Amino acid sequence: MVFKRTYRQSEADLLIQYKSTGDLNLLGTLYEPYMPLIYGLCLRYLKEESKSEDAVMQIFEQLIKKLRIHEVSNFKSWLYSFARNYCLMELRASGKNITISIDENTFMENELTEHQSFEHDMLETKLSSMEKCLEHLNNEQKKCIKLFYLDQKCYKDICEITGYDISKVKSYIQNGKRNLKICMEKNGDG
Amino acid sequence: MEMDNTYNIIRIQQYLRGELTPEEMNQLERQALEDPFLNDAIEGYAVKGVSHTKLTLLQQRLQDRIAQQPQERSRMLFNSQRLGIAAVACLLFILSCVLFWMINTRDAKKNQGQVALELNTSEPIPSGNGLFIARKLTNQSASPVIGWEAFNTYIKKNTRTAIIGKDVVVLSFEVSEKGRPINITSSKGKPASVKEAKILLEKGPTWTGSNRAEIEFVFE
Repeated sequence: MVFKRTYRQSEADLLIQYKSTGDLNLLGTLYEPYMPLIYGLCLRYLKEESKSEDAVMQIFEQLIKKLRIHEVSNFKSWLYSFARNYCLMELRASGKNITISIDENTFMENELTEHQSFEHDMLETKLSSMEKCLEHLNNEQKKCIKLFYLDQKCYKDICEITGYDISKVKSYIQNGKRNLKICMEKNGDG
Repeated sequence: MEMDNTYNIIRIQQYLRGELTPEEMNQLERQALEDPFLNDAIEGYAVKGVSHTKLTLLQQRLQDRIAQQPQERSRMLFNSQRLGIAAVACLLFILSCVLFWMINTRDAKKNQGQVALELNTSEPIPSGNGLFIARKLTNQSASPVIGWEAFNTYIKKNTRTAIIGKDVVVLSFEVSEKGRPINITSSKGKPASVKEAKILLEKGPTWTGSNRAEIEFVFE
C-alpha cells in the first residue's frame, strides 16, 4: 500500500512538473510504463501491429500538447479514455465499421472509479445482503458469479464446468456483477 | 489491486500461454473486470500475442522522440523566456560598455598627470626650502658639472639679495671648450639683477652637456 501511494504521488508530481516545464523526459517517464497496455489496447481496436505501433507514438505526440493544457487527476483512467478514443477515431477515419462491443465497455468505464468502494465496503460488510441479491439473478449469471467470485474459478474452468462458451461466461459475469451491484445499492438505500 | 505495469505485461503473456494456475487466472480475470484498460490490452494481445521485441522497439522510438526535444525547442526562437534573457544580456553589455569607457577616461587623466609629473621631475628642483633659484629653460641646455642642487646652493650662498630684491632673470650663454660660460646675454630681468647673475655665473662652476645654455634665476 505504501508503495502504491508513493507511486501515485510521483505520477501526480510528474504531471504537475510536466505541465509547467514541458520537459519531454518527464512525459516519457509518465508514459513509458503504460506503453504495453496502450499497445495491447491499440491491437484490440486497430488489429494491425504496424498501425498499433504508430498509434502508440501518435498518442504520445498528442499528449505533449494536451497535458500542458488539461488538469488530469487520475492519469491512468484519463489515458485509457484518451487512447481508446484515439483508436476509435482512427477506425472511423479508415472507414471500417465499428461493431466492436462498445456497450460491453461503457458500463465498465463507470466502475473504474467506483470499484474500490464495491470491493472493500460491499464485499466485507454486506455479505448477507449479497446472498439475498444473488438469489435474484438468473440461473446462468448466478452460477457463473458464484464460480468466479466464491470458488475463484477462471473463465476456462467455468466453461468446462458449465459447458457455456467463453464469451457467454464473460458476459454472464459482467452483467451479473452489474445487476448484483444495483440490487445491493437498492437494499442499502431501503 | 493495481500492479506495476511491467509486471502486468509478463502476467498477461503467462495468462495467454496458459502458464498460470486457475487461481492466478481468476485473479487476473477479476482484475480485468475492474480495469477496462487491462481488459482491452488482454483482448488485444489475445489475437496477436505478446511480442517483447515490438515493445522494446516502441520504447526505443519513444526515447528517440524525447531526444529530439532540444531541436524542437530551438525552433521557438522568441519565447518570453528567451526574450527576457536577451534583454538582460543587452543591459549587461551596455553597462559594461559604460563602465569600460569610465575606467578608460579615468586612466587617461591619470596618464596625463603622470606625464606632467615626469616633466616636473626633469626640472632641477633643489631640496632645502623647496624653491629653486636657478634652472635650465630648455632640455638642450648645458648643466653645471657639480649638478643643479649644488649649483643652487652655491647661488643661494653667494647672492647679495640686498642689491637685487625680488626679480626673475633669464640668461643665455655659450659654453667654452673648458666649460666656462662665455658671451652671456640676458632676455629678462632688471640691469642690477642681470649684472649680479652674470657675476655669479662667471665665478661659478664649469658647464657640461651642451655648448649652449639658457638659465632662469628666481630671486626672492
